[in-house]
Amino acid sequence: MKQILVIEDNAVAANLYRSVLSAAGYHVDVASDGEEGLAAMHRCHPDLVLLDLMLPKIEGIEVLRQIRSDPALKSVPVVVTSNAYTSARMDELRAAGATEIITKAKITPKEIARVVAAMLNAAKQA
Amino acid sequence: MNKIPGATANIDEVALAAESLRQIADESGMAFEELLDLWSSDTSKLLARANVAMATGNLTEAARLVHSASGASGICKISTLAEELKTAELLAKDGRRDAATEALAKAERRFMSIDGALHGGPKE
Repeated sequence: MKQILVIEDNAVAANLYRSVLSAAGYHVDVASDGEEGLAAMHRCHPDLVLLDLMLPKIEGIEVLRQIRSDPALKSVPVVVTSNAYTSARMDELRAAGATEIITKAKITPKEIARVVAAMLNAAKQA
Repeated sequence: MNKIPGATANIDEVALAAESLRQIADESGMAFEELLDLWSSDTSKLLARANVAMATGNLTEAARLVHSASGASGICKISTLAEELKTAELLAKDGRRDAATEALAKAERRFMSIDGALHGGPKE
């Protein structure tokens, strides 16, 4: 069973993602801040990460940079989810190594599950 | 416009919020009541903490909390509330405390109005 780590401080988003991804057949772990998220990365070695941008303790972009600079984690696909994008922020996220960038308010949880499936499929073929 | 007595949100807006929550719950495999209670309690807590942060002048923390509340309503497609909260967030980020406090109060009235109606009647 593929393992997804959701790093998200908002309880509504975290529960929706957990529910829809569990129903799609994934094992889902949730971390509610950046620090906990990085610890969970090392603990559960996920196949994909859903990463919120505005997180307590360590910001999402810093979490992403730390993932990409760690040889054991750097190949894990990271889908960044937020509502706080400017074009400069998008460029910054791409440069930091985001695999995909999603605007939460413009996508339904069901569509998130489709994105996750597509990203895992692409990672498998790479 | 159909108004709920004593409320900020109109009946159409409440119906739309209920429909959006129902659709998102169905798509996600959650019960409607479970999602409604989660959205309600999460937003309520975030707004209470944002008010404290705003009152103590911690606008960075207030903006973060309001951003989270806006995101929760946005993901549930309760768009008018999400946009009002976004306005309060941006004002707080700009350091405009009075305007941010006013915008937050307006959004909070809308939240209480929608939440009260969805739970069976406007909250006082």
